[in-house]
Amino acid sequence: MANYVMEVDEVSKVKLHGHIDASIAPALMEELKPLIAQKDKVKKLVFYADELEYIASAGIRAVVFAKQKLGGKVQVYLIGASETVLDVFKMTGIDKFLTVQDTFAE
Amino acid sequence: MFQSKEFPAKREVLPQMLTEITGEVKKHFTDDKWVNRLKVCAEEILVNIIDYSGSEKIYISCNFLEDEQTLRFEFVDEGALYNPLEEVPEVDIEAEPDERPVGGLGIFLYTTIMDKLEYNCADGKNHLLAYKKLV
Repeated sequence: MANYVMEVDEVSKVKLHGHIDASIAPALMEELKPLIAQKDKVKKLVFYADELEYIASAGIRAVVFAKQKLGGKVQVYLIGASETVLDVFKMTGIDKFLTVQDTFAE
Repeated sequence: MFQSKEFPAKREVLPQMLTEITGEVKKHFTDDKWVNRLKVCAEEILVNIIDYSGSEKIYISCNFLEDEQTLRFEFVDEGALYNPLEEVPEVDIEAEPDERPVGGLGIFLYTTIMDKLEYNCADGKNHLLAYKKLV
């Protein structure tokens, strides 16, 4: 089972669950490319992390990659991340350019 | 605690190695945040060995130092001799996304999380030692 589910729209959604480690992250990055290709359409990118148990640096890189490619106009959200998952984002400083929320609120 | 446990240096064995390490960490760290942080460190170190060393095996040890307050992990591989601590890339955690390099996050994380790291080459093998005082 994939560890993410994607929906591309004006508000694009990526649901992350389980473990996003070095094995899974490259595939996630590949899956993000078609979404990035439609960047003119995307206004917000929402990563739902309420079922995400673990993320390694490779997973963080995928989020940074999306943010870099989508550009500054697209707001990137991280929703429902547990304390331990959020901790890894904070250690890398990535949380600073994400909108971190418990539940998605535009 | 365990001594020189041998694993094939393969991606598919990574979950088993992490389960072994995390199981030991959980005995000594009650805070989930620290259990997770040490798992992240172990994964970053192991993935580098698996992907780049060319070693067929990895040997992992986990012991307490004599102070009984500091956990020491040792990762040994038989691949190309390489000191990962020689060139630790600087990561500016205040940098904007566009200014961030693609690589370096993994080593940044484990050098930040662990209290001390040491590399030595003995018997033609790479030995990476990672220390963390109980919190």
